[in-house]
Amino acid sequence: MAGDPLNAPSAVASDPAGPIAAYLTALDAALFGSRRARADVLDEVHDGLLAATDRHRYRGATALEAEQAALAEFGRPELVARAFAGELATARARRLLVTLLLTGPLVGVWWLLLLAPHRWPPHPGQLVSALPVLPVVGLTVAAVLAVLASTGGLSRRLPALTPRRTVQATRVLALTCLAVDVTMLALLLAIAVAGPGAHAPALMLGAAVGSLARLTWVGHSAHWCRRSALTGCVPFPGGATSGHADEGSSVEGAFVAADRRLTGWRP
Amino acid sequence: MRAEILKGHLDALLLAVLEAGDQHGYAVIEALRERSQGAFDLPTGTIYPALHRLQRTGLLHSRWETVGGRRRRVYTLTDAGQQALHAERSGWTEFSAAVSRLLVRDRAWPAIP
Repeated sequence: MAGDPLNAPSAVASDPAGPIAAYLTALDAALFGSRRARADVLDEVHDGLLAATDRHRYRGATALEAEQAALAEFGRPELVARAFAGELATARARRLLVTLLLTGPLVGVWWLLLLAPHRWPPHPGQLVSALPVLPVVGLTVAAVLAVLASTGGLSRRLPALTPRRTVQATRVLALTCLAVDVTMLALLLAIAVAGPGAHAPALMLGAAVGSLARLTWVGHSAHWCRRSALTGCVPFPGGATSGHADEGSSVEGAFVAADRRLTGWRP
Repeated sequence: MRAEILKGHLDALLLAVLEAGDQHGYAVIEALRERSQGAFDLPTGTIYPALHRLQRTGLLHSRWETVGGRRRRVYTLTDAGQQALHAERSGWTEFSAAVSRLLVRDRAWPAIP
């Protein structure tokens, strides 16, 4: 028999109608995340299942026994999906927050060009008077940065946010951005009604389109946050290193499974 | 091994496995199982999210490779991960020595090298 197959290319061809394919289909259905994130998870689990199958065949199991042992070893698709839920939700929330940060200046520059006082640099009071949402925008940016830091590389030095809290915070921040855009659009409408011709139409159009586009996108994202929270954004096996611990979490579920109280999924 | 004891140390155990070199997810999990002589036998599918979380927090880095026509994600310990492992190891040595002094009877605790 050849050497240990753990790091070798799999000798097992994945049967599209076999139990591994059925397992991956069930896992895909149970995962909650973006299409790309799900595809990455499925590719990784697929690779792991084939490596596990190779491992069991190397130890003398038949092809069918090896596949079934690999599937039992991985745990039921629902359990695996639940273990991934927190991480997928956190990753998506972080992407959403980064996008909010990046689109902020793209939309804000139109409003600045349109409404900022002519004398530059303006007095801060004049700027806030012209753009009344500026203090809220400043606080929101600070909060977005704090959430990104608490869920990223700085999470070991800062109080770590659980996936549930991350999604909740992201939803609040998305709704704040939504309120800012609605306020600015209302202001634009008031300007257009009160003094048509006072401002460049191109700037008014750019600001309106920018805010409307972001409104639509942020509204969709806030909806995702709500769905994510409702469908059970739960964390995953965690430890002292990360400081992750969550109320009503799946940590216990996953580790109870380790105690074999949950039996392996059978194809 | 009680599950709640293991869950507090999973991150450090995964980092320790990757200290030896780059590994794909299943190899990490299998090494965890073998090096613990079967004591840490978690459902394999639930360990992957822990690897993803360690990557998100900067302790691991991953890259995709193509092996035998399929995508394989390979994990590497980062400098921050190495430092975190060192800190966990020191903490564990102190903690386990202190607990052993209280719990272990009729046996001298071996000197820490």
